[in-house]
This record gives sequence, C-alpha cells and structure tokens, in this order.
Amino acid sequence: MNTVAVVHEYHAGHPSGLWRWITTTNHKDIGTLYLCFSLLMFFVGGAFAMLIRAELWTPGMQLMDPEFFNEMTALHGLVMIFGAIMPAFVGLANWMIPMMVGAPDMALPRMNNWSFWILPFAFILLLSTLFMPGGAAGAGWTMYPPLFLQSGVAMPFQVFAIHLMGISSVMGGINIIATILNLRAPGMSLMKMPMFVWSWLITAYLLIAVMPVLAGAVTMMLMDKYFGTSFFNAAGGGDPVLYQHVFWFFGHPEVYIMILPAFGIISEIIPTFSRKPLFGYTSMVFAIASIAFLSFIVWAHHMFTVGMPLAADLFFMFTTMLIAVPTGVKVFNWVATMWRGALSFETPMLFAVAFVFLFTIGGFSGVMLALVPADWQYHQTYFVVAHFHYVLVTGSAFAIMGAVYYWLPKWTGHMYNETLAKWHFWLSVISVNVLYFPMHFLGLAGMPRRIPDYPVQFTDLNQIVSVGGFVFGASQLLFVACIILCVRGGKKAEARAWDGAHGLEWTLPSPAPYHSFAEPPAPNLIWTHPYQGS
Amino acid sequence: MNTPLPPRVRHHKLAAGLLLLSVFMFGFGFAMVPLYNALCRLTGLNGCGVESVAAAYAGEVDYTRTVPVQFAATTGSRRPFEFRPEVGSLRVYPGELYAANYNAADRSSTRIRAQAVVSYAPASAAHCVHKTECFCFMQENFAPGEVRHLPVKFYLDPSLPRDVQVVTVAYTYYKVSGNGIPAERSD
Repeated sequence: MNTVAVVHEYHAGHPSGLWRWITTTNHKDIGTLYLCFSLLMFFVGGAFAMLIRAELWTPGMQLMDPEFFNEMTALHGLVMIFGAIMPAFVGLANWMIPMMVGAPDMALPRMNNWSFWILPFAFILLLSTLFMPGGAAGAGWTMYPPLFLQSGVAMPFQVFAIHLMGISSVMGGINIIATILNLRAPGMSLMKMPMFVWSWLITAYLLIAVMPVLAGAVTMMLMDKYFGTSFFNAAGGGDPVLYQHVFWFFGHPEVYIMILPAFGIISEIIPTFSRKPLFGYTSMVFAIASIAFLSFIVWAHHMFTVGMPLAADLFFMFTTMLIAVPTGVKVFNWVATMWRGALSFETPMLFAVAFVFLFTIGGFSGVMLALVPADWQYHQTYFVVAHFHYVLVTGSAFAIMGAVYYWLPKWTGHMYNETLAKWHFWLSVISVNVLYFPMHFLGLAGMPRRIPDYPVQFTDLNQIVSVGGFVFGASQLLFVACIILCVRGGKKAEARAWDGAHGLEWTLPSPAPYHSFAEPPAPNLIWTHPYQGS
Repeated sequence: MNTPLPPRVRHHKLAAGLLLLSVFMFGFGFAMVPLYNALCRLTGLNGCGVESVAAAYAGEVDYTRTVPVQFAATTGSRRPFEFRPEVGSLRVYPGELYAANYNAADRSSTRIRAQAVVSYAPASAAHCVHKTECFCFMQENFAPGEVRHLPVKFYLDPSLPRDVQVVTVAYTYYKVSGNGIPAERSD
C-alpha cells in the first residue's frame, strides 16, 4: 500500500517541555491534552462519587453534613459531564478526525489551543468554590432556582465556570465543523465519511446550538441575584419553572451531545472486530440526524411533574417515545453487523458489545420514564439515577474506554497489555451492574435522589450499590495502568493495528507521525463502504 | 515553521456563520422568557396573565350549581411571618361576587415589604377566576409585629368548565427584594 506523504518527526526550534504543551497548535498534542484532562476529571468526579457512596453506606449521617453531601452530588454531576465525558469526546475528535478525513490538522489550530486551555481554568474556578465561605453551590448539576439563587458567594464563580466551559465547547464545535466541511481529502464525500466523523459533525452543531442557551440561563440567574431582575424570582413576577424550560432546552440536546459520539465510536469498533462492513451505513447517518432533530422538541419530559397542561404532557411523551425508533435502528444495525461476522473479542470489542447491551437497558428505562403516568412515580427517585448512569457510564464512558483501547496502538505505537485490559473490562462490567442495577429497585421502592440519609429498609440495597461503586472506582486504576504501560512500551503496533480495521487513520504508521497528511492522501486510499457503491 | 501545507482553505466565512449561530442561540435563551409568558397567558398556566383587575360582573348568575373554592396560603421565606385565610373554603355560585379575607402578621423585629403571588389549580380554571379587588395587586409594607386584614373580592366565570370539581386559589407571600428596594429596612 502506498505510504503516506511526508513524515516530519520534529521541527527545528519546536518548543519542548511544558511550553510545548502550552503553545501547541498540533491536533494530536491537543487531543492528548484533552484526554489526559478528562481522565484527571474522571478521577476527581469519581472521588466525589466515592464520598457519596460512603455516606450512603448506612442510614443516618456518618461522614459529612447534608449541605456538603449536596455539594458532592452537584459537583460530581458537573465534573463528570463537563470535565470528563465531553472533553474526552472532544479529545478523541481532535486526535482522530483530521486523520480520518485526511486533513493535516484541525481547521483553526490556534483557536483549538485556546478551547483546550480555557478548560483547566474553568475547572479550577468551579472546584475552588468548595473552599469558599459557605461551600460550593449544592443545587445539583441542574442548578434549579430558587435553591441555586440561595447559594452563597460560590454561585457567581460557578456561573462563570459554566460560561468558560460553554465558550470552550462552542469553539471546539466550530473547529470540528470547519475541519469536517472544509478539509476532507479529495474523493471523500460526506457519505464516505467514517461514522465517528458523522456523529461528531452533528454533535458539533448541537454544541453550538445549545451551549449558548445554558450560558443564557445561568446569566439570567446571575442577573436575578445581583442586578435585581426577576426572570426566575416569583416575588418579582418571574417563574422558577421558566428556568427549567430554558435549562432543559439545553439539557436534552446535551445528553445527546454525550451519546452521539459514542454511537460513532461503536460504529467504528464493531465492524472492525466483526470483520464486516457496518450494516446500514445510510440509515445510521439518518438515525443520528433524526435523534439530533428530536432532541430539540422533547425537553419538557424532564419536568412532567411541574404541572403542565395535559396537551403538553402528551406532546412531550409521544415525541420522546419517538426517539426509541432511530435509536432502535442503530442498535439493530450494530447487532446485524455482528451477525455471522468473524467475531473476535479484544478489549475494544468487549467494551462495544457491553455498550450495546447496557446502553439498551438504559434506553428501555428511558422509555419507561417517558410515560407520563409512570414518570410521576419514578420522578426524582433512584430509578432516574439508574437510568442516566446506564446511558452515561455503561454508554458514553464505556464507549470512550473502548475507543482508547482501540486507538491506543495508533497513538503510542505499542499494543496495550491485553490481559490487564481484559481484567479492567471484566471488573468494570461486573461492578458497574452491581453498582447501578439495584438502583432501579431502590427507585421503584421510593428512595429519592439527592438525599444523604434514608429509611432502614433501603440499607441492604444501598450497601450492594456502594460495594459496586467502590470496586468500579478501584477498577479504573487498572485503566490508568494499561494506558501508562502502553505509552512506555509493549509489543510494536503495525500501521493497521487491527486486521479488520478500515479508514485513513490505519494507513498512517503507528505511532501516527507528529504531522500527518501534509499532502492529501491518494483517493484510492479512501475506503468505500461496499454497500455504498463508489 | 515551514510545514508543507495544502493550498490554504478559507475558514473565516464558515466559522463566522457558526459563531453567529451561537450568538443567536444565546439570544434565543433570553427570547424564551417572553415566549413562555405569552404561552402562559394563552393557556392560563401558573395564573400568568390573569392578574389584572376585573370589572364587576354584569351577566347572569348560574344558580344551577355551586363550586367549592379552597383558599391556601404559604410564605416564601423562613421569616417569622404568619399568613392564613380567614375561611378555608367557600361554596360559590358562578357569577356571584364573593369576599374572602386573609390575615397576615409579621412577627419579626424589622420592617418588611412583601408581595403575594397567586396561582390557581386546576389550570383550566385559571381563566375563570376574576378578582375585582385583591391584596396581591400591590406590594404591602409591614411594620414589625403588624397584623393586617387582606381582602379579596372575586367571582367565578359561569363559563367555568363543568368538569372542574373544585377550584384552589393559593397565595404565596414573598419578601420583595431586587428592583433596587432594600429587602429589609430597619428605619
């Protein structure tokens, strides 16, 4: 096979050490920064979760006062969503999209540097609220008024941190769209793009459309508190329920921002290890697009209990249930891709198969929650916690872990330790179910979310959940060990690290050279899906 | 740095368009406020838009049915502020004018300015509660320890849907802050 153009290792005068990382405009460096940052935040948010599970080990108050418990649930959510999952996906986009579309770098490399380096400051600002008088804001990641308005000095700092995260995401989104639309190699039409690229193109549009709405919502809250407006203040004629509408207009597309790139990853991994092309490529593209469209008209299913008119309840119930259709298309297509494939179960495939199983469980509990009369029982209970952890942990986080194992050989030039990685997988997949599955039962039995104490009859299930939580948390240290060992050495990886893999990134040597596709790849290198025609 | 780059593609137009989209969406967040209020006025949700002083009713009184109207009272802050209706509920003929009184007492040692906000249940009845006089139309000043009688005069519109079994009128008293008025003054 034709090897790829000119390979530069390093330039003369290229800065080294810390300065290199601060000033870098290279998409691979920035991708690495994003991924390392998100791993760090995964452990910070994980530590908060461990404190939550420790407090819930037995009824009564053990380790912390209730205010601190609320701060933990709020920060756990914010850190995991904006600090771990989203930056991990942006990091994967940075690393992989230019290589997958045959571009030399991201379209706007300097802005790329800026979008990353805003993030550490945003999170220093957010986490510093823990040490402020009165502590961090304990109003949940959703920051509902009036509770959020009653937080002390932490509130404006948290709002500014959210602004910074929003600016970072919007810049990242603009960059990704510009890269995909403007820098594709000649011959790569939109319908020849890898699914990961497709999923990110649509996700980036969602980011640009909804992150500013969140910024607007928290800005209005800031104005209510400090400038005497009454957007959400009932005393001044405002309405706290309005905040929920604005927030979830952002919030529901946001949950798809956190799952669509995962769909893309799974659509890369499963065909590779099934040694078959992705089943129904075109329907996969349209499924992602229709999920993205529907995400804008279903937001109020998060607030069925606020007392909306029946017509609104019905509208949001039916549109929500409609989402199960394109999602079902995707799940069936993945299964059909595996059907009669020459399957092998390396770690990325294990994570992908676990994703298909466990994400679907989360999808089903989502359909249950979409039913208005049933939701009135489930609302604000652990059933909801179980639902969104199934889609976010065994969904998004598992897809990210699968992606890391899948592309680590390309990044480092070494194969990871398969035995250790399988230990990581099996410990994770067992403990994560011990952790989240009993939460369904707790929720159905009536245990509310976001409380530090509970009646004694919930003790046994809570202890099972906590054990699952501690084991899952500890298992992630194996993940770090796998990554560090793989960076430092291991079996040499070939250019095409997986024999079933297709796509431009696998035509580059492993590790991928610092500058790749300085000249566009030859059109015959672009892999054409057999069902697509050429 | 002299990396051999392909002929430069201009990204400015696309990037500027996308930036404009994000600015537009920031504005859209704020535009949801008047949109929401218009929607509430249209549907009578949360008692929005039905807060004006009603003219006295001149039409027929519907003596064929009575509807129970319940009165509820809550306070929106942790102040030692007592607030309750004189009568918990009334059976009313739709179309006839009734008076109901609330009592409020501020048990704290500072002056307070407060405003009551009303809401109705069920939402389908919200359009049909008309008040010719209500303490909720204005802010009230309370001296420390002051007790007030707060009158409401209202009638139900005879167009009230027949499937409405009971109408609840709930008031919440809030301490007024913001709008440049100090929340509590100790003068």
